[in-house]
Amino acid sequence: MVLVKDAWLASGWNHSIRLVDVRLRLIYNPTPASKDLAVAAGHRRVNAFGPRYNAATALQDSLYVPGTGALVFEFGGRPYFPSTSPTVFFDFRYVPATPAIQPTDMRPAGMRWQSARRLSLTSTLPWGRARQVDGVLTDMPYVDYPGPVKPLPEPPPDPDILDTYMIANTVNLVVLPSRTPIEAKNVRVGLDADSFSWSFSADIFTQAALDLVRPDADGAKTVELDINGWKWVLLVERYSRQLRFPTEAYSISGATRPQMLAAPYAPLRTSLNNAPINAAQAAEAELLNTGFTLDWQATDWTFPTGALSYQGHTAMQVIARLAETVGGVVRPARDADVLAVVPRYPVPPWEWELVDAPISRIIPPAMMTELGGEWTPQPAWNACYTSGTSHGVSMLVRRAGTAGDNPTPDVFEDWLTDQPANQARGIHELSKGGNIEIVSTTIPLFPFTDDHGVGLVLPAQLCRVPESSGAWVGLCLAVDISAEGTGAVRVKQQIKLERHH
Amino acid sequence: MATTNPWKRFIGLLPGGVRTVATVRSIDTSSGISEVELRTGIRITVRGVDVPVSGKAYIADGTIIGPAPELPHFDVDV
Repeated sequence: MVLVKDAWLASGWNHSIRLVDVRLRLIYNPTPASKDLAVAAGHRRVNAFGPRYNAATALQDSLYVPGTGALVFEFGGRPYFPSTSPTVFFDFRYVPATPAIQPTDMRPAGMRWQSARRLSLTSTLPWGRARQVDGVLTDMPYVDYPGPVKPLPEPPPDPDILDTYMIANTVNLVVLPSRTPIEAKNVRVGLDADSFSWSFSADIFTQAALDLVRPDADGAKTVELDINGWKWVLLVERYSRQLRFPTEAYSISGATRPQMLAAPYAPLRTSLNNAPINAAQAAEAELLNTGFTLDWQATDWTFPTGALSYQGHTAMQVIARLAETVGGVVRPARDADVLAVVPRYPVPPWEWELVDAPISRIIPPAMMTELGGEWTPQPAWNACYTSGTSHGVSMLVRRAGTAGDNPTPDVFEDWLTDQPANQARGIHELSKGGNIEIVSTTIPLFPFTDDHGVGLVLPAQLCRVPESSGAWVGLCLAVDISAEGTGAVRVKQQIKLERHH
Repeated sequence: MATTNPWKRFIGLLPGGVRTVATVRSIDTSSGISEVELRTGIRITVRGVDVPVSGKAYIADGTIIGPAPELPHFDVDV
């Protein structure tokens, strides 16, 4: 039923809007409005024909310059400030008159708008990833600060703090190059700071799978392990089988490919440098024609002619000894033939709490499922004597602000041939002292593509643990990833952190 | 050193391998030992008479193994 007062209401709609009017047309017209086409600013004439004002001349006129005549004032190296108390004094101050603004362009100046010319429409800009050109220092001279200017390091990724983390773990083990998958359980892969390759072990189920990975006339087989998207390429070096009624068990173990650079795979070399060479160059020369590449991030130093000499060393022995000379470690890549030589302590422990410490990871305590500690104290050394033997320099590295009365054992290395090397080694030796606790903790291994800012923690990376009792910084010493259970579904990442108290 | 590597922990326990440089102060040729002064001023006797008095000698595990050069020295505070 319609109320009476609504009986005469009629809708104002009809079909006058056609589909053709729905189209919206935007006309791009960059031409400015006609009132803006010529903009002219008016001005008044002030002192149009007087002498031109010159600021430099005005300043020169206001200065007192003593002449060479008899009247020469001795100002004692400072400006002459006349005193008003004596009866006679000079006052050289001259205040120039404020100049009036003078017009320069007498004709009205007009600015015209028009579209800019478009040139080189086809050329493209060679954009790519930015690269650091200046090295560590900014090389910016600051007039009031004489010290070095260091940019802050890149901050670590912020971990996502969630109520619940759900991970669907995926563990795949395939034989290369055919990529035949094999079933595995109890997979463990790990690396510690003093190792140059990841170690690996797994249990497999069948004799057929074992036959796929067993070494034969072609040498050791390579397998690819994929845990949550983190990939490792591994050489299977050992296998074992246990037959006990009613089960049979097979296990394999191995290491990543940098093992090829050490005994028994690599040839032994003997060498003496007949030209000055850098440590990074020497390490790269060891990798010539091996397919491996090197990323030297530790201190680099120079060997004079005849200082780099060794006999019967494999390539990895030489690189590890070079790294050890300056307190570095060799860190292998997971699935590429890349070695990184990084300082074991990115910065010494007394600088870990500073704002510019290069923290790589933040490990939220909420993710730590297991926690343990081992107390391994060392003397709190405050001085270190490092020296080359036949070449180079000797150096006493002392903690600033201490008497240097508690020295470490003296370090004599044949390859400490330069000052930066001595200093880096001294800092490394001092870093080893103090009240050290090795904290072992277990965190999940998040997928490679969605790592919640935590991901895989590598040795020689600094980690900050923001515990409720106070944040602390630890150096990662070792990481062990285990995948246990049926189908290797329980993936854990155990890391060991060196914490200085 | 804080490490979790079993091999590094093991060789850290082994004795020997201590090398140092000292200045020879006196030589006793009859018994074949030299009295040397370490960098810190402490004197010890070591086996070997090959380095003349006031020369620098390498000492490894209590034995003079050869003469040592005079290297330039630096002091650094870190």
